Amino acid sequence: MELLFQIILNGLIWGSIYALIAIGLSLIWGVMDIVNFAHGDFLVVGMYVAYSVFAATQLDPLIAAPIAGIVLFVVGMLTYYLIIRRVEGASLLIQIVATFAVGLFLKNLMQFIFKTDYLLIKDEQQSFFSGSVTLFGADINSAQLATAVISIIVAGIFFVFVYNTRTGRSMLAVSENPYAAKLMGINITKINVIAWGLGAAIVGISGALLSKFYYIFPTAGAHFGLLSFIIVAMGGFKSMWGALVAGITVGVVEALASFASNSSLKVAFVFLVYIVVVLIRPKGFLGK
Amino acid sequence: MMLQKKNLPYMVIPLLIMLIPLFLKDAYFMQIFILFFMYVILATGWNIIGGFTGQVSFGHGVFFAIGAYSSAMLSLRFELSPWIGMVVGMVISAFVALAIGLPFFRLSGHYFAIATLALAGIASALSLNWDFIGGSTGLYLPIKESGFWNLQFGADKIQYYYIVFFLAILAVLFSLYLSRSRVGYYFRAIKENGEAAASLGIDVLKYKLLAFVYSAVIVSIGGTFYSQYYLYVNPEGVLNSDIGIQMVLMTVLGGVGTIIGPIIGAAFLVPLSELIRGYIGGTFTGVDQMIYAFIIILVVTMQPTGIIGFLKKKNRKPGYLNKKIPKTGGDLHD
Repeated sequence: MELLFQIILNGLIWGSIYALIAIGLSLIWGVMDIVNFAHGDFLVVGMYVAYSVFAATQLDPLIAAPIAGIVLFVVGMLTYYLIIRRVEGASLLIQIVATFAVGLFLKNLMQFIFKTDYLLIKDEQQSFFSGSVTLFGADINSAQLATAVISIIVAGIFFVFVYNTRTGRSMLAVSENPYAAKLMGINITKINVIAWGLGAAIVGISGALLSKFYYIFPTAGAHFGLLSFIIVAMGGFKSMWGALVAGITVGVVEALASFASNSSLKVAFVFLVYIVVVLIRPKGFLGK
Repeated sequence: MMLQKKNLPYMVIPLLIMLIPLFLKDAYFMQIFILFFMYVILATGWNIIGGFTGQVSFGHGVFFAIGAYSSAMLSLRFELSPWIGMVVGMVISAFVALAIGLPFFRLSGHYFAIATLALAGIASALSLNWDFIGGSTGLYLPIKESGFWNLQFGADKIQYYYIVFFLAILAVLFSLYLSRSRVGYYFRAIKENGEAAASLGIDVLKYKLLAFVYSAVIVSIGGTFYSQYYLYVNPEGVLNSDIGIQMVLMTVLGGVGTIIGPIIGAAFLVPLSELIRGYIGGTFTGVDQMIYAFIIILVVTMQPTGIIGFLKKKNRKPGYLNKKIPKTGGDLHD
C-alpha cells in the first residue's frame, strides 16, 4: 500500500511537469491549429538557458526559470513572425515541415554551442530543495516535488490570465472561431504572436524547472515533445484543461508501468493507453 | 498519350540516369544515388496514403522496419533469399496495415496523425526489448556469395544502383497507374471531402485501408533493400532514427499528392543532406544540420506548395501561349 502510494505520488509529480509542458503546446495548437513539431526543442532551449545562467552566476534553475521564459517568449514570437506567418495559409503538412525544420535548427544550434555531452546541474551546489522529504511514509525527491508544485502554480497563473484578461479571452475567441473573432475586431496576427510567445515561454519555464534534476542534452526534447503530442491529443485539441488532466494521467500511468516493466517499455505502455483512450473517445477527454 | 511531346523528359531522364554508372564510378556519388532511389521508393509509397488520400501517417517507419527485419530474419534463420524475404515483408506489412488501419481510421485529422506517431513509439520500444529479433544490438546479415538471388554484391555498388533504381521505377509507375485509375479518383475524393465521398457511394473506410496497405507495402520494399545494402538492421537505424519523418519531409517539400513531387523532394534533400554532412559535418558538429534546416525553412516559406510550385510557375506562361486552340470540354475524355 505504501509502495503504491509512493508510485502514484511520483506519477503525480511527473504528471504535473508533463501537464505544464503540454499546456504550452495546446495553446499554440488551439489558437492556430498548427502542430508545433519544434515544441520539444523549445523545451531543450529552456534547459540550456537555465544551465547557462547556472554556469555563469551559480543561480538555481528555479530562479532562472523566468529568464528562460522570457528568452523563449522571444524565440516563440520570432518563430511565428519570421516563419509560421508565411505558411499560415498553406497545407497542414507544409506547416508541420516548417515547425520540424525550426526544431531541427534549434536542436543543432544547441549541439553546436554546448556539444553533445550530458550536462547536469549538480544538486549539492544548488541553493534550494536538495535531498529528499518524507511525505506520509513516501520518500520524495524534494527538487522534483518543488518543481511539480511550481508547475501547478505556473499553470494556474496561466489559466487565470487566459480566462480573465482581454488578451486571454481574445485567444480563446480565435481558437473557437478565427473568422468571427476577426469580425469582432480582434487583431489575429497580434493574438497569434502572443500565443506563440506564451506557448514557447511556458515550455521554456518547464525546461528550466526540469533541468533542476534532469540531464541536459540536445536531443532531450524528442521524448518530451512526443509525450506532449500524446497528452494534448489525449486531452482533446484546443482544450487546455484537457492537457492538464491528460498530463497528470500520463504521469501516473507511466509511474505504474515503470513499476511493472523496464523503462523503454513503459513509454510503449503510455502510448498504448493513449491509443485506447482515443479509440474509445475519438476526440480525447475534453475535445469537442 | 504516352508519346506526347511533354512526356519526353520523363522517358529521357530515367535513361540518362541508367547511363550514369558507365561514366561515374566514384563510390561516394554512387552512394548518394542509391540513397536517392531508396528514398524515392519510401516517399512515393508514403505519398499514396499521405498525399493522394490525405491521411497523414508518421508511423511508416514501422513498415520500413518490417521490410528490413523480415528479410534479415529469413536470411539468418532459414537462409532464404532476400527476394523471398521482400515478399514476406510485403505480406506482413499489408496485414499490419490492415490491423492498424481498421481501428485508427475511426480517428480524424490530427488524432490519426498523433496515433501513428504513438504507434512508431510503441514499435521502437518493442523492437528494443524483443530478443528474438536481436533486441537493441540488432541483426548482422551473413555475407553470402555475390549474386542477384542473394542480393549481395560485396563492395560493388553498381549492381545495387541498378536494382534499387528499377525498384524505384516500379514504385513510381505503380503510383502513376494508381493515380489515373478509378481507385486513385476515390482516394482523392476522400482527401477532398470524406463525407461527400461517402454520400457518392464510395466506401471510405475500404479505400482508406487500401491506400494504407499499398503505401505500407511499397515502403516495406525500401526496408528490405536497406537491410541488404547495409547488411545490418537495428532499432536505432530503422525505427529510432527519423526515417518515418524523412519520407514525409521529402514528399511534402517536393510536392505532396503529385507523382513527381516525392521524386523531386528526394532528389533535393538526399544530396543536400549528404553533401552538407560530407563537407561541413566533420568540422563543426551541428552546423550541417542547421544549414539543412535553414534551407528547408527557406523553401517552405518561399513556396508553400513545395518545390514543384517553382517549376509550375516557370512553365505556366509558355504553356498557355503554346496552346493554339483553347480546349473546351475535351478533358472529359481524359
